Amino acid sequence: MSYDDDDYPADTFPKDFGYGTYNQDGLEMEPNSTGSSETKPRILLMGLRRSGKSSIQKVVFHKMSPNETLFLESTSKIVKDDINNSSFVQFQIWDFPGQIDFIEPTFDSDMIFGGCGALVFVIDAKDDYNEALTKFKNTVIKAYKVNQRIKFEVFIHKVDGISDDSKMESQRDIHQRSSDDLSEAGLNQIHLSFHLTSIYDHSIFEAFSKVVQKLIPQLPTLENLLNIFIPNSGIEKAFLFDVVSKIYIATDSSPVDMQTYELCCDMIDVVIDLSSIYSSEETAFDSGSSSLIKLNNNTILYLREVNKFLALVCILREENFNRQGVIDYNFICFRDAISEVFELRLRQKQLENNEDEDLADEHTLMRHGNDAAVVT
Amino acid sequence: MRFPDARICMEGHANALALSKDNALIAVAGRSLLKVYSIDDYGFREVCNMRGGKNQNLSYSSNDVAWSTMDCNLLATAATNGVVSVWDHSKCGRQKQVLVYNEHERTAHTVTFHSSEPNILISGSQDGTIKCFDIRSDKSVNTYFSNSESVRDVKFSPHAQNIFSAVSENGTVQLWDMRKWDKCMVQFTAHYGPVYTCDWHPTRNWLATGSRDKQIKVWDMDGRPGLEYTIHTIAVVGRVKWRPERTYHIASCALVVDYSIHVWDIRRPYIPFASFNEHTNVTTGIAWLGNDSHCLLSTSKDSTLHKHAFEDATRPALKANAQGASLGRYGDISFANKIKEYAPKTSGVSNTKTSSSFINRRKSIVAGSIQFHLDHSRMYKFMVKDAFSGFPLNESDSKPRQEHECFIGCARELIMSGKKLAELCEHNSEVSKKYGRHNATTLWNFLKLFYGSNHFEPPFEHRSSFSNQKNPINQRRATQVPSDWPQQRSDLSQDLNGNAQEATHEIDAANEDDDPLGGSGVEHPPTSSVILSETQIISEINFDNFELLRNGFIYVGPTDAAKALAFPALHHDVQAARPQLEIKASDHEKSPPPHVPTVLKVSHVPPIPMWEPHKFVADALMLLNDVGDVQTALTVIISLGEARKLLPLEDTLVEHWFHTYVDQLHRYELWNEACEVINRSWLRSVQQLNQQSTAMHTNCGDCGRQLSNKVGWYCDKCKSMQSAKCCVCGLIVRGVYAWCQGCSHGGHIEHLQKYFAKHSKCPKCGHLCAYS
Repeated sequence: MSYDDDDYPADTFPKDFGYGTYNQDGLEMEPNSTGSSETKPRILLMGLRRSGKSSIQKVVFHKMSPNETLFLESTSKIVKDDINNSSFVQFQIWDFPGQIDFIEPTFDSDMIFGGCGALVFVIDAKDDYNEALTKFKNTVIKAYKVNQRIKFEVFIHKVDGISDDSKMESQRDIHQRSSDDLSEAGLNQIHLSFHLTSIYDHSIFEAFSKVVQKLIPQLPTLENLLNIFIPNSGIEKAFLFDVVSKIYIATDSSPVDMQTYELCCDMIDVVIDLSSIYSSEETAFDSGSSSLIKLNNNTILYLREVNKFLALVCILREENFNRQGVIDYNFICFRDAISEVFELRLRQKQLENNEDEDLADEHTLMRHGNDAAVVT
Repeated sequence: MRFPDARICMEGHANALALSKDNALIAVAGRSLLKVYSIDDYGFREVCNMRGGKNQNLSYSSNDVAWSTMDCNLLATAATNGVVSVWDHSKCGRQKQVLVYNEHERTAHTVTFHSSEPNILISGSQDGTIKCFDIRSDKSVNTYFSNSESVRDVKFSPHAQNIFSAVSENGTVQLWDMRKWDKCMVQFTAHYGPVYTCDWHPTRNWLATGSRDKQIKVWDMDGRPGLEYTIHTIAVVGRVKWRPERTYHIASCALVVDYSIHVWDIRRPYIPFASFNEHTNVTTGIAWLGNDSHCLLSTSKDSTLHKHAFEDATRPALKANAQGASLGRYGDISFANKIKEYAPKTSGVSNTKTSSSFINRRKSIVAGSIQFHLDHSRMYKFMVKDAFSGFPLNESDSKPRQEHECFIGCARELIMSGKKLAELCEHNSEVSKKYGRHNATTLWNFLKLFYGSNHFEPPFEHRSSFSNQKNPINQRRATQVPSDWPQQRSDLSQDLNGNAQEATHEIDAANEDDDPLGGSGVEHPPTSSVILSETQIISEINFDNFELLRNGFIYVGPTDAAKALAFPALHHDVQAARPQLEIKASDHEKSPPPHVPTVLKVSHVPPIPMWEPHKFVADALMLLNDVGDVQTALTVIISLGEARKLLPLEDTLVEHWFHTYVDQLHRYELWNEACEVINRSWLRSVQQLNQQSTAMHTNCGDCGRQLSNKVGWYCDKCKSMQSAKCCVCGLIVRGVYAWCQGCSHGGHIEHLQKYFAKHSKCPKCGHLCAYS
């Protein structure tokens, strides 16, 4: 399960793609089975049948075109899908058909909820969502009993089908009712996040990005690194992407513009597709990967590999790219800093020591911050 | 008083700017910038640079800056690494940074001082918390957990001491009481995208929010928050700021795409009231100069600081059309325009002046409404006066002919073959004119021109003759066109904006309903020349094809005005493109329908591509059919002979027309004409109409059913031969059997003749049989 032993190229489907049975994979889900798996966020995707889970999974992780998801068959039994081969994010997707009571004894909730960091509940916005809300409430209560640190995310899905006004209305309504449900159950302290999503635009990627970001303990450090890297390199906006899923695990603190994000996503697609055609290597994405796209509005898209899973995509003005050497140097500093941040985490896990990791992160950060500043 | 537009360049771009309490100093903060400038009438002067020296520090890279509301020396910044610092610019060197709060885990987005308690400031951060600091202590006083991803903006309410609002990236707005840190007072979802900014109205209890969903929303915060106004902008909203001393004005700047600063009147949410377009990159900070509503300061990613005077702003709202025109069902036109300040310029007034002699005019002042721009508008309603419809009058035109008379007359007199197309057209146009069908007349003339002399080669020689013929008129028009003519045209063809337009429509409908005279327009589709504001031209053109064609097709149709407009527009351009290029340039540039892009292309390409009239003829025919004149449409198609294949019309449609027309002819008992039409048809299904059985079945006199048996006098249902008997003598009829279709009784024809000579009713049932 660690990412050292996986050998699937980033752009291909995992070989065991398909629905593995629950028992086969059960053991592998054990939390803390390896040190490295801990560094990956683990997400559970739930929701009533036909709410769009499989479509989300296919679109986000298997590069399926949204239109093709129409032909996906509905998943009729509890199925589990692992997506942990090539992505920074570790996913497990659970389908909950309406008729199956997951409180039944065969359902090992300790194991399921114990190891996961976030529970994504998908609600079909176009459908009547009463049943979904009931199911959601039960799930939350059950999961919260097992694991109190779990983050609950609600995807109000398929919003492409409803108007702007009703988007807000349904968000408000679902928010209100689910909060009421939870406070009735005496669980006021549970915090729910809501996202309006659709597979036909990038909102699903953005929502996933936000979910994943909550599960990354190093996020403030990553953000800070980006915040330092950007002004010193004359970059407008930068995203740290998970290459396979095209979700961003960190970005600088300036507001995310949808169009910019979409551009960067598309760039990753282009780079992966081209390099899997022309690359002599076995993998399409490796340490040499970098790409430069000039847009006709005097802006430049610049992609660099950070590590096996991550790529940095920047958008900057053409005139600032004159100093490419500086940018590249800053980038190397940035990449080293990031790998140190993750290594630190790994080392900490392995040694099981309780050293204050934030402090150490800050050290790395400051050192590299100064490096970058010196160059400019 | 007029301010000079002042600007100053800075190194590195600014993320925010803030004005000190006495409005004398501006603080500008950016990623590598923190400076204080003083403002006077001559421009900006740098007072203090807080980032001097080598002490480059992350906590200097600011996202937001705020001045203390009491002390003119104190300001606070929020840094990208989450540090909130307080500065005193009167001190020197490193001591300028008085306090550093390193408490936020992630980027601090916003910071603000309390309006009356000078020691309190709050900051909002990406980590979803809001922290409240007292500058007398070095720790935060309170932390408020917003339970959202990221707090983008916080603002103290000017109306309540301890209340502040916080907006966050999940689209919610929260209202907090400073003293209650555990739970927010009010929380509601305001936008379906991240909310980036908010601002309290200075006098009313309103909160404006701006979001990534490109909307600015104004919420009434009394009691349960209610949405008051929504403004749709073209780009992601970055900052909003209420304009002092103006209740309904709010300034906004965008985060991407749009570099301008817009000042909106919230009651007119579609067009900015004023815009400042000086910046060459995205505007990042705006502030009104104290209570001066005429002076706006802004900073931008182009690294400049601007002071804008309101007099210099462009006013998009003024350039918008304050006119609206609409067509009524009966060919009436109603026209609304704003009269107050632009009255001398707008088309409405000049229009009515020139046209007042032509038409009946009714004027009604629209009652003052909530829509503030409408209370000075005026509505005219033009009705058609036949005498000025632009056609030479026939003697019969004094009294409108009955529709069916026209139909029958046309059906008899229109000819479909047997002559050359040109002669056909000429003849038919005369016929149409005679019966008052001016559209049809025009169409026939048009066909004559284009298809007449040489069947399939309309292009060049025809068009040249056509343009020559038009030349005098064109020139005349070109010279006569007053400077505001194109504007009028475009005014009329465009909508003004949602509200006014809507209002116009409503008024329209209302007036139409209580106007009994409107009905008079039914029979005669008007060719009111008034609309085009070309009355003077029209009056000179007597019976010219094209002008009429235009008028006719635009204004007759209750249907598709856009389609009809496309027709004359192209037309107009083809003419214009021909000989007088210099005129064309000015002329067509502003010529009306903006939704016909091809128009522009045609005239720009020097060798004019062959103009194919087929599409337009087809459109014209469709239009005729739509207004109920299938007769002309079909006659045209038949007359065109083989040329009809050029028209892009579907066979099914033509077939439908055939059936309709034949049906109509049958109804008027024009059997011969119907037969001729059927014979001329090239469609099998139509031709078959003539080959059907002509058998007519009698009905049973008792039950009224059709006797469709082989034996024509035996009713299956009644099992009787009653209907075979003469109803006068009671004997079975052999030979000629006369029969009334109304009551199904009949008998010997000679008996019935005798009988009906004395009686008028049926001998059997008393039905009023009409024996002739």
